[in-house]
Amino acid sequence: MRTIGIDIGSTTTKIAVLENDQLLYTEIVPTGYNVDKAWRELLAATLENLRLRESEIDRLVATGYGRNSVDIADRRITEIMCHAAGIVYSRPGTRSVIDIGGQDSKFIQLDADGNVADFKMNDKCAAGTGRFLEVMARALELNLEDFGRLSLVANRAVKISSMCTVFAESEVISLISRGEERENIIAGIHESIAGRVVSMMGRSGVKAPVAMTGGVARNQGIRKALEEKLKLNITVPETAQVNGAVGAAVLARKI
Amino acid sequence: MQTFAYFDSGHEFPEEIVMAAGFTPYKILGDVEAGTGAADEYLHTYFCPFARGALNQALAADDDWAGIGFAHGCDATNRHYDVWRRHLGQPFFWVNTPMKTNPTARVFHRRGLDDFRADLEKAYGVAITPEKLAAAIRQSNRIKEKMRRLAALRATRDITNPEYFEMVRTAVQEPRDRVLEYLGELEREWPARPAFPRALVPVLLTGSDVTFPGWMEVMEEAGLRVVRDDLSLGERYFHAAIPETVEPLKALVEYYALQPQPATRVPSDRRLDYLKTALWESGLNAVVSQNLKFCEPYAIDAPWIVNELKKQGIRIIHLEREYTPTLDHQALTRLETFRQLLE
Amino acid sequence: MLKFLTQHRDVALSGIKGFKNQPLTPKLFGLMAEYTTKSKIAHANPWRKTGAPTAGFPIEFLLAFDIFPIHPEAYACYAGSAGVTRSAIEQAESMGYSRDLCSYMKTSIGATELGWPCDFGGVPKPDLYTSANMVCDTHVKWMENEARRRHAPYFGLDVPSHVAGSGEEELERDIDYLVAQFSDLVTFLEKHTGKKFSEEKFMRIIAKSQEACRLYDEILQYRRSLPAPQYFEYQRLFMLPVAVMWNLDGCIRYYRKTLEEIRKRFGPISPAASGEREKYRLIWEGITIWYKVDLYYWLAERGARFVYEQYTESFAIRRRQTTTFNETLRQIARELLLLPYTLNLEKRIANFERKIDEYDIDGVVLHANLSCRPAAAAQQDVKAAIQKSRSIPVLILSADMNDPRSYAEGPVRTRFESFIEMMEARRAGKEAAKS
Repeated sequence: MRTIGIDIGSTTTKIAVLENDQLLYTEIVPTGYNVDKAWRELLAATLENLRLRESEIDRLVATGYGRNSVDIADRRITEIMCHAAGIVYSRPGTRSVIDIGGQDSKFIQLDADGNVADFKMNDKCAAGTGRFLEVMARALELNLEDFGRLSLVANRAVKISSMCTVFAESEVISLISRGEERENIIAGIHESIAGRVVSMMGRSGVKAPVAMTGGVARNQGIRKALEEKLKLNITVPETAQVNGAVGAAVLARKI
Repeated sequence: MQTFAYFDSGHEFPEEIVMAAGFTPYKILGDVEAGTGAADEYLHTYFCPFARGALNQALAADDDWAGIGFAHGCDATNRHYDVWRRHLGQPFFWVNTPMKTNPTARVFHRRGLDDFRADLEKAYGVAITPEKLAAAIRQSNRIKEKMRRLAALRATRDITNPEYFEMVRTAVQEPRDRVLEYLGELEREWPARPAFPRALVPVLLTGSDVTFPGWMEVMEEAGLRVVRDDLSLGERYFHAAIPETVEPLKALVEYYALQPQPATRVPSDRRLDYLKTALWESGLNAVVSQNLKFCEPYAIDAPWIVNELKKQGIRIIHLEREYTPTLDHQALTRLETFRQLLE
Repeated sequence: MLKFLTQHRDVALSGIKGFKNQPLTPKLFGLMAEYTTKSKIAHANPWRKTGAPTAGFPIEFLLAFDIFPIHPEAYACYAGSAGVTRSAIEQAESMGYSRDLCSYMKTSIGATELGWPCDFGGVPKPDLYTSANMVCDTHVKWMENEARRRHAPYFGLDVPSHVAGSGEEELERDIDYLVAQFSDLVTFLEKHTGKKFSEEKFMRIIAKSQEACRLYDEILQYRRSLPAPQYFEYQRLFMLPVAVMWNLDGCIRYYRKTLEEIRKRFGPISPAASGEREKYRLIWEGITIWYKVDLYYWLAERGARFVYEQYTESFAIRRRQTTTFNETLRQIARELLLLPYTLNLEKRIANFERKIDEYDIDGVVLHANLSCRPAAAAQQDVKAAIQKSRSIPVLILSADMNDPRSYAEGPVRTRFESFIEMMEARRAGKEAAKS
């Protein structure tokens, strides 16, 4: 059976193709303002790369905030269920999933069989999301990759007290003008996001093993800050960023 | 018949006294489409958006209302009264409904209702006689009784969340004679509806009052059908009947103690008891609990309500919602996931 | 405490730094320490009952039953002054309490959950909880919720709103209601302490709290002097003994001594006093920003000092002497209904105008406190009214009393700099007009 999962997030659109149990193909493109165009072009390019026709796809599941625009989907499933299924596929046995995306952060608790036991999502505020990081990286004139890497060489984390994205940006700028080391500021930003995410999760519900997915999972600094706050190791699967799409493709096999 | 508008954070405002004075009581619900722009000039944007929406509507509707009444409810009613009064030209009335329903509070409540009656009589030159009050109470009871019967159909017939919302909205805003006719039409139409759709999951809805249909549509879209609730624009409004065998104002005081209790009142156990009973009566095992952003009483209750119901084996989700007419995608995702977990 | 110091070393160390940064005299520091120490002793003593009231609740009723006041808000203020609230608030949020809820409440719940001592916001379990609703819904909901969580009884006092446009008649009706509730309160306290209420004892306590309030109020009145003897950053801690009333005799002695010193320095209360007037004399409305005493120091360096606050004055309400029991109950009820902190809009504006004149005020800061929506209601109207009738600059400052995450240093300072420039321009204009 050949299935496809498409995950349309606020920042990027992801696709995953699964043949039986094998992950054949994944791809990520920016979503842009035209959601419809983004997934149609991505699907066409994927089929072309794999030399497949649409009729050779058995099922397609769409997820992410743009899921309802995928009119050809056999089913639309929320990203929470898909992230859970994706992690069960790539890291079986995982009990807690932290997914930090562009506009949402989520915490998913899995039971021993890999079913979603409970979940939480951030309130509507950029703090604790990828968007917050983006704004801060811009303020420090860094790309996101360097942003994550640099914090690992910080000798201390400067306290960033503001949680409002706009105010935090001005706080960061005033720290720069005070001559504070860039890596220490970044470490502080990571701590502040981790604090926000951990409050959302509620410490009591976090069971090991913990995995992290979503675009922000690539940022090692955030992972480290979360590990310190939770006092638990966090694994990041290679498919972290496409985990929702992989999960959608996995769930497509079951419908 | 002239409209007398009121701002009430629960179901505390004594509509029947206004009816007996010859007015149509109109519950101010704001207009989510119109937003809060004009009110934001007077109230900070981190205040309850429903309260800001209500003031926004009042500022635009200035001439349509014969008077404006407030009931002592949450911090918004209590503190925004002065702001409204300063910027609107109508006669204003304050009804100090108590926080409790014990004997001490009842004595005070009664005095407040007497004062309100006297204030209305003086302001409009009308006589609010016991007969008129009794007639208003009878009319309210007929409305509530019909609403109870109609609301019970939610569990067995295909009655959408927005339709249920519309029934209650009509009852608190339209002239009461027309409300009776309208409910009569529904009584003919709703029982003939198709059976409860299999694809939907029945739930109980609790928390802040839902004051616009958009939220009910989000729930519908997520495949969740509200078949029980404890909202002011819902069961709180029609659950109990106003006693007809006692003196009218005393009856209104007694009625107050019979309603499902909102989060602004103590002891809060009464609120939880109603939820438990409703779940038990209807055999439901799923609850959607929500609070409007910045609605503190319900937000404080949330961890407690969630834990207590979880202890009973009830599946419950709590979320914070916005005051917006556009489809709330994040809420939809959460609610859909909740439904998927229930399946 | 020792366990805390070892287990939460970071919190303790930064807290000590925070306390040291406060404008404390050794005596006042000693009093602050005395309160938390006595709280712990009272809690540990199996024969001593303790009770948790909220700010403004008539504590004298508890004292009449020998109930020691365990004051969750006061401890939350300690944590705020210590600058350690952030992790406590995050702890409470992780328990499901919304980001938008009161930061005192979350500091208190979080610190208690983390096992912090009361010096850092934790609340030793009291035997009962009491609160009133004149300040906010949160006072009622918070204490009731804590009582439930910690299996203790709760009593809620329902204070009607004395809204704009209401008069003496409504006030008398509302007083009757409160007096009837005092009787319910006494029944509640008798039930949970097993003691009989003594009117005589109550009246002795009231006489003391009235004396403490009069002394405290006279000290506040001295701030009309040019310059004032005390400013807000000191006053907010100085009010502790009268706000909590754990030791009324000590409180009276302390205020009497302070007052004597001030009298010696200033003579009779008069605006034309001893020395050089502050450059800018200000009113602060709302709760202080506990974790940012540096803001007040920074303003002081620029000559801007706060000399009147409704917030601190609200703890001096019991100043009118009463003689009979009934008169006393009615007076307490009146004071609850007409608290300076919760006055209706008409009375609030009138109070501002009076104080602006009496205290020779140059500018007003209204704290749009994200944690206290009711207190921040109608600030736009207050601002417009003052600007119209007194032509002085009014700044609405958005911040939070105990949550540093809602405070932005850069924007706050920019706002204050502009505010000072406005006061300066007004002064220059006045001087130009004179010459």
